[in-house]
Amino acid sequence: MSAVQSHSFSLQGFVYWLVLGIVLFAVLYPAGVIIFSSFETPGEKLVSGFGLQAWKIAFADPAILSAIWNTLTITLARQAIALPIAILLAWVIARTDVPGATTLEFLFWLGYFLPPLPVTMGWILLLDPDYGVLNRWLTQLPFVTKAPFNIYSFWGIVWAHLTTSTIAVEVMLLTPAFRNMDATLEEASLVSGAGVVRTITRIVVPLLTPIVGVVLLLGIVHSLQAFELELVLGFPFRFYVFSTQIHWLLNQQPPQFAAATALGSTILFLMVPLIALQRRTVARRSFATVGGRYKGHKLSLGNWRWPVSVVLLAIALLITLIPLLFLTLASFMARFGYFSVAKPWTAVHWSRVIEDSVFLDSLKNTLVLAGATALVSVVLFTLIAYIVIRTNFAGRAALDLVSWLPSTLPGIILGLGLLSVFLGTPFLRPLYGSMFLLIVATVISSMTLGVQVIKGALTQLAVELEEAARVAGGSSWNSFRDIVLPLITPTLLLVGTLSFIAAARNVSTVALISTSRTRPLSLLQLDFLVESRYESAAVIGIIVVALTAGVALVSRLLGLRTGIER
Amino acid sequence: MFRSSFHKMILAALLILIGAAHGQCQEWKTKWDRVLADAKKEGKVSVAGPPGTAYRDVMRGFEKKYPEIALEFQSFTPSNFTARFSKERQAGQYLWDIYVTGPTGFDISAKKAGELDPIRPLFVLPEVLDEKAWFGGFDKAFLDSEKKYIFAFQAQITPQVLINREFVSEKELNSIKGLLDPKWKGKIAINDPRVDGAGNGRIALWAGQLGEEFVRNLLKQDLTLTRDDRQLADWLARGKFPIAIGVNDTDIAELQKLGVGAKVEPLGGKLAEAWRLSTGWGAARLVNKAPHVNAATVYVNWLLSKEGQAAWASTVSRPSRRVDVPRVAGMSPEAGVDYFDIDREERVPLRDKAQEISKSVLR
Repeated sequence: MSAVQSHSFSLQGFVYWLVLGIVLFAVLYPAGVIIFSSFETPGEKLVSGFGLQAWKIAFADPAILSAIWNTLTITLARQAIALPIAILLAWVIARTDVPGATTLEFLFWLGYFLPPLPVTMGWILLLDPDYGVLNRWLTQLPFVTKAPFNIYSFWGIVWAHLTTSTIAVEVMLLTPAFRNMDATLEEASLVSGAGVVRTITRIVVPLLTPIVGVVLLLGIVHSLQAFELELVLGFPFRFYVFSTQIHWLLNQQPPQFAAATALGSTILFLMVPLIALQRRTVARRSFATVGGRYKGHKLSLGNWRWPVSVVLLAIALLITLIPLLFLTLASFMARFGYFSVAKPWTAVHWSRVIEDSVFLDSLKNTLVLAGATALVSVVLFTLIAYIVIRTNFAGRAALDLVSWLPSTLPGIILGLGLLSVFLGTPFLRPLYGSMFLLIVATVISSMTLGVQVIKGALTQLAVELEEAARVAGGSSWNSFRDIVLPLITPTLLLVGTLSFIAAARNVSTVALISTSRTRPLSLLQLDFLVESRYESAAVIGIIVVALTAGVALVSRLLGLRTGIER
Repeated sequence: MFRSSFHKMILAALLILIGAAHGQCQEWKTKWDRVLADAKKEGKVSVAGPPGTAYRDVMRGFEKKYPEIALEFQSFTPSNFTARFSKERQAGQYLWDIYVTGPTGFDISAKKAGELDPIRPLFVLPEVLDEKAWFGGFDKAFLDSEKKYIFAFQAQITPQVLINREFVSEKELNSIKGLLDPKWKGKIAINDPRVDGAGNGRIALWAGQLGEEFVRNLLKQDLTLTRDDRQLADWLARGKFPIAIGVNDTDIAELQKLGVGAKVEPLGGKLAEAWRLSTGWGAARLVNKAPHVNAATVYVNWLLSKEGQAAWASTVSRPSRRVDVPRVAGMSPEAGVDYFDIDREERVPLRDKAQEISKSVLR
């Protein structure tokens, strides 16, 4: 990974410092406030002093040790199953001539867009040990004596995670990287007698170490913060994880913010060594797979084309269409899961949502919030990733490390930090309560994923491409615009789409900083959830999925016209 | 002569009475007109309220009645409001006027920290101050010990335990104390009593009425916990757990409308330990240094008026503490019954105790 530029006091240097300044301020300041506040001792009036009291409270609960153990085991189980499957699926979609690859890939995107709670309700409906439909069918078989599945179990939680988002998002993130791989490497492996599995494990995965490492790390971070499913499925059998402990502290009266912050910060400290390890691994050698002699043609599956396509379709259906069916059913049922009542079907939830007095304003706010987040994210994250990967800028390591921080902070804790920053900084205070603050929050929330994905794409591009442009007389900007940008456009569109959906769905951070004028759809959905109107919440889920799917479709249409293969 | 003097005296007395009444009327009217005029100058009122679309919809009535005063209403969960409020205060920002929510730990800490102002002086309209208009009297609606900070305008009787008679007959179980029978081990689900909420309120009531020993033994009955109201109602209606503590009545009512859980009913008949009086999300407090005190006054008087409370009862489907608004079937308290009200400030130690016991038993 050689650098092609050195920083100087030029416009470029100014831009680099500006980006570093913005990122440090936007991320380190709230993160610092958060860590600092975990040492505050709450008193009758605001803060009475400083000490380790909050940390003691956070770790004094005897349940914390089992929560940590549960979190680690569930994280391990999720990633151990999801990552190999996702690598295989992404490889098949991107590197082979499997029929319907584009549609299949889009189905995985769609699977990731679906809101987890209604989908989990669907799985409960099928897999509850007492009244689950699938269990009931199976127990009617002569050789099945008791319900074979129990959604309220460790493996039930793992299953719900795998099918709601884990596999889908990993396929989404890995596929563009696989697409950017030079086919000659695989061909050489296969010609020399290595089979498909060996080629994937010995050639493909090592070459894609940066992006696989990033996907794994992001998966771990998301597992550490996973919350909704654990609360619904884990609570009944007293299965607590790290994030439910944070939720527990926030629900005490008065809420134990400092202790929750202490626990939240722990994730950050836990992740630092892993992030450092990932950085070291990536820095050791070049992972460029796209050079001047790039050959992007796909491997022929021969007679296996259609069987593989059917298997892929079955997985995609499990991850996308079944959950989508749950979601749609939920929105049209008088009460989701009650098929035998006199009038099970109704459109009342749709009319309730659409006729809600704040629906249109919330929809508009969501479009502004998610749209602006997607745009700002793509520009800012590209700059960050480019500086980190392609320059010798002195602050690039700091920039890289800091870009990881937002994902390690639970949403509500990040919201608390941003509240402090905007309220405590005089020149920012006038922006408090504005849409700008919400956009800042959602951009920060999306930062880790976005930066790392773009970094992964840039790592795959050989420096020789830009050097060639410069030798031919082009400036840095020209080589970026004419060489790099077209090649990474599909990745940027993916990042834009991911940022869009993340902003449209964000509840925990946004709930703390929005106002009645900036309230997005996700908070209207929260209102319905609090009222136990899950059916109306499902309607909002469908609307958000439709919005995002629209954005994703446009992205994909644009993406398919650009990128390496074009 | 005597008769004529007597008539004159009666007439004089009547005139004095009418004058006094008119004076009083003039007094509140003058005050109200002044407040209203000042409120219109302020132009808006900032209200933090409970989450849920119905609570937001209730407030539309105020906007219709007082279009010159913009209502900035925002929903919060209690912990989110506490976080935001505390951060704003740290930064010297005083943005809220009225906070409507159920009784929470916020009340105690905010009162101690001087962050609440008495709401009582804001009540101007005679219909709001009318002693007879409120269940148990006007003073009883205040939850705080000083009777001036937290006004509970919702009063709902709610059963401690619901039981699905399709699965457990009256013969098998008909009292709260019967829950301790070992045969109910593993058959009871509860709204997590270790945090503030429906489960904790119920355990606290029993800790007060039936003693700590009862509560400890009950919690040892292998209870299944949830923090999801909907899940609890579904479990009960489907009979997964035929006994449930802390179920949201609205959830069950919705199911019963569909014909599901038709045999779900309160356990324990009319026994005192079988029912509690609940404020739900219906209590108002005035935040100190409120930026729009006059608009807040108009808002509070509207909310507590017959019109405001009728809107609350019909939109939220929860009974008002006002006795002159339509009752909510099965939820409005019966006159003359002294229900156990766990939401009062003097019962906070009981709630804390219940949490402590729950935390120690339900690890």
